[in-house]
Amino acid sequence: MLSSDQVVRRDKRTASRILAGEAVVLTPMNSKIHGFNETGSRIWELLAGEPTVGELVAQIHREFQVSEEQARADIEAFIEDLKARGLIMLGKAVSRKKTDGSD
Amino acid sequence: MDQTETQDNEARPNRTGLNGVQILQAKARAHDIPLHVMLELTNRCNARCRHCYIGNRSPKNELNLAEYEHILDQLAAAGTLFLVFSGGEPLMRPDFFEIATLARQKEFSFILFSNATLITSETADRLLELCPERVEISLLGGRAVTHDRITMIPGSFDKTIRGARFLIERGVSVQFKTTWMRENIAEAAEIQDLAKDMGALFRSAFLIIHKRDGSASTAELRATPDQLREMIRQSYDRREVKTVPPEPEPLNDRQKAANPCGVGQITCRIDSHGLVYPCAAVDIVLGNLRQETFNSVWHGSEELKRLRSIRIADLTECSSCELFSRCSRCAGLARMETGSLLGPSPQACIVTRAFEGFYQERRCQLQ
Repeated sequence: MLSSDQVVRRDKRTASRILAGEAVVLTPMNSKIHGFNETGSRIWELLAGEPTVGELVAQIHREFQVSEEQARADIEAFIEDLKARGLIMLGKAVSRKKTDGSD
Repeated sequence: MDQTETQDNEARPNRTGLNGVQILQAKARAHDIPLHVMLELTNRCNARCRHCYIGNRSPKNELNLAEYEHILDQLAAAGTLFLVFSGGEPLMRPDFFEIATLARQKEFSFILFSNATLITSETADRLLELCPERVEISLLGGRAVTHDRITMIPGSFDKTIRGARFLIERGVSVQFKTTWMRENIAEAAEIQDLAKDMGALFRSAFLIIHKRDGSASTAELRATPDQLREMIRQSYDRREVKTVPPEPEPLNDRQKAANPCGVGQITCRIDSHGLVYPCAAVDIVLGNLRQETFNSVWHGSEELKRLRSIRIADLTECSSCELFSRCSRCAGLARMETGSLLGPSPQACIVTRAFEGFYQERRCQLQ
């Protein structure tokens, strides 16, 4: 399970765009293209701001009107998938002002 | 909340029969997105290749770093994902790495076209850090004497191979590319073996476009039909798996309603002075980024609207040719050769007939 204050960053080796509302991510080292659905695209967009896991959960919970538990479960699975594909880096837990309301 | 998901889409066809890049290109076409942009960073070059289309190599009035930053911002906003850094020789620009770094910070993918003669171990380290999709390197002969005669720079072959090795050793993807000419086509096997032995990819180019000053002087460099046939035969004999494509079929109405190529659809070229063109070969100026925004050119150019409206059915001579589905016709080259974007390209006709003639012989032998 991911900690709420872990920071999620796009791997700087990726290339990406939001095209017609959907994120397209390329890993140039193997020329793989990864396409996301609406929610995945929104999460990828949010990763530009290098949010914590907790901040992502809070944002998706608000925007997509799903329970916090559901948002956390989906985001954790998605983040694990992105990590396995080499699209993101997980940073160390940092001391930042909490914005997700969790403790 | 929808199930979040990712889809691997690189080279593997999916249920639609299209691979990831093709799906992306279809989407870009549907939304008028300039997915691929070639940035000709400079006309300067340290080689003097006899088939090169660049005439004037002056660096005068080249776009500067700040101008490139502004252009990259505009391209990112327009949806461009894939850049090609071309030239001239891009590494002749002292600020090449600043431009490339900006591009990667703005999350573009890039391919570098280079002759690799300026790539040192330090340069290779810096390129590795930038994680290019690949570096495409012109290799014009399997032997130094041939390559150097075409580049007109003694010692260039050795420098090119050395530069390529620095990249390959670091895991940077390298693709050698050879334009087949009268002078080098007999060395096809040596060139391809060299690429394989070094761990590089390889691709061929059969068409030689005219010089941008309008001169057709490069025409004399073209391989003869006999040379092409011999090279095709040798390449076929060397293949581990020998397959012959089926007989070509005439296009149906649905196929004729498609665009002939990506010109003006999802690609464009920006030269080192900020002029925008539909592609590397079509020399029609669409706009000037020193005077107008990229968006206004891409969406406002009347010339582009005309190019986008061209359908295969409009290519009156080509669309009824039974070899069209096999043809590597280039609209820009057709325009250079005959004055018409809609006409056939005699060079492409020769190459396509050489291939199809060979395959037809094989089909007859197999029957």
